[in-house]
Amino acid sequence: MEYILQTQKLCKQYGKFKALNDLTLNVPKGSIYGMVGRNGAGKTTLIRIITGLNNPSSGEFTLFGVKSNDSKLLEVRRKMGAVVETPSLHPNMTARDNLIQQTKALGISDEKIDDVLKLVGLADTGNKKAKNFSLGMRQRLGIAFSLVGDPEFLVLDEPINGLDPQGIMEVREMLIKLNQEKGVTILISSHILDELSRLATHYGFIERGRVIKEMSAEELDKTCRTSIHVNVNDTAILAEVLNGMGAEYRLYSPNEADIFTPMQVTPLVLALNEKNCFVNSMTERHESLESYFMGLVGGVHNG
Amino acid sequence: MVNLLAEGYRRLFKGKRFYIVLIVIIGIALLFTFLYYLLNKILFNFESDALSEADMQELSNLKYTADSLLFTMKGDMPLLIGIAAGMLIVQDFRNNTIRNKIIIGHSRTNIYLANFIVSESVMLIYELAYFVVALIAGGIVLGFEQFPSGGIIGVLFMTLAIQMAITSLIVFFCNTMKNVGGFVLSITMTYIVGIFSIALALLNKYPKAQELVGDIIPTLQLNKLINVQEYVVPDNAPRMIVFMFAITIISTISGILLFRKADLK
Repeated sequence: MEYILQTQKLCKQYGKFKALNDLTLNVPKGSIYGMVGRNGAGKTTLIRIITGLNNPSSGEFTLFGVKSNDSKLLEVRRKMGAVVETPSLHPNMTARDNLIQQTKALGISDEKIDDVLKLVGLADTGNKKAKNFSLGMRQRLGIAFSLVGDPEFLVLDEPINGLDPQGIMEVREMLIKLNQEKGVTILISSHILDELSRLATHYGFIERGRVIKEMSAEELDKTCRTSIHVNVNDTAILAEVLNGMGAEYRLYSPNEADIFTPMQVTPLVLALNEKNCFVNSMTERHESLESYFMGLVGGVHNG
Repeated sequence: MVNLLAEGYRRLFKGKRFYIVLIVIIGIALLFTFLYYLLNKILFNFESDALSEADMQELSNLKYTADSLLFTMKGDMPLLIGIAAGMLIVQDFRNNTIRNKIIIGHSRTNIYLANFIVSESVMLIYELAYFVVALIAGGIVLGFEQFPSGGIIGVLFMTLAIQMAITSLIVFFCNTMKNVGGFVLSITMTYIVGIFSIALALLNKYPKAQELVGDIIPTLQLNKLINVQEYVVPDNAPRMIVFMFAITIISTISGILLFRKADLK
């Protein structure tokens, strides 16, 4: 398999805090690679290092086959576009002027700017300055910045923050289009895991500065278990009963829980009934990306 | 580098700040011309027969000419250069737009050098604008006494070397501190040096050291050159110019080295 980005034992230390700890990650060419991790897991630090904003404390990475200590790295970065956290834009310029600024930095003509603005839905912003844009519009302009140079590799850190539902859908469609029609490889980090699961073809699960699991969407689909989602009047009693049965489960609230161990429903309901725990509803569920991630980072009881 | 310069100049010329400062500089040149004209009028508004020849000679020394007008703004120019060029750099960091250049593969050395070149251009444009207006308006209204003597032209070139060094320090502070603090420090540094220049008196037992410090520090060197009755190129001019070039080179190299190691937001 050909990889656009590979990191090898990448470390980043701030004082005594290790933001990245021997992080090894592989982004296949043509994939939409979703980075999943809690706040402070190291996702943004990794993105900062790849984009050249931060220097790693140790370790290395390979971008388009060029090692991070190779002087050609700057050359291959031309093939990259990125939005890191908040969009970086000139507040006193219009959307068009902002993008012209980027064409100047890239040394390319500005003839494609209108297409890019249309693609991100900012074609009719006219003379409105970026400082007067809504958060969603700024986010779109940030994405537009990253698209100006026709990148082969797009790095997006929380790109749908601040977007309304329609905006989220439009960005999702745009990213899928870029990936499928233009073959752009996308590395994306997002807290909205449901949204990420609709996009990603590959996943990297990051916890405490390490990649704890890498897998394709297909593999995740196979791995994700079926669970019984139950709503009861007291999950503490449910937990007691399930512990007695040696079942694997996860509690979400005083009323909600998922049971992962396949079991007969009637004996469970009877056992609960004996202890005055009543079942309000019970549905079969396919484990989501979110619950898989929670399981990976240690949210499962009795697991 | 060419692309970075194109980006930097466009950002400079698209903003209002550059033009506002330019108008202020032109306005100050015209204002001082007018003020000098009024002062001369007040000084010489009497019957000249009433004064002795010695008094007349002394009075003529007080007359404002366009020669001194050429140097009037020199001490305040770093403030104005800082407002236009320093703020341009700081805003690039504040808006995080510096990221857009790094992400697409521009080296930090080139980004720093592009900032340096754009800032030095701002300095040259402002110096030229003030010079042209002072030359024309001052020449017509006040008249020259020395200009275009070798001395005055030499001192003018020496002050350019000083402004170049000060501008490189502005770039250093703004690029290294990356925030408004860097901007404030860069526009106030000449005044801070001015305040502490009194400490030079402590070196009165060591005139050589005193002279050396006066030559090394750009603001003090500027004071030495322009606070005079007659503009002449000093004997140690080559050394003074070398010091200014050394400051420019050392601050630029240090700035690049620090910028290359810095983690950006």
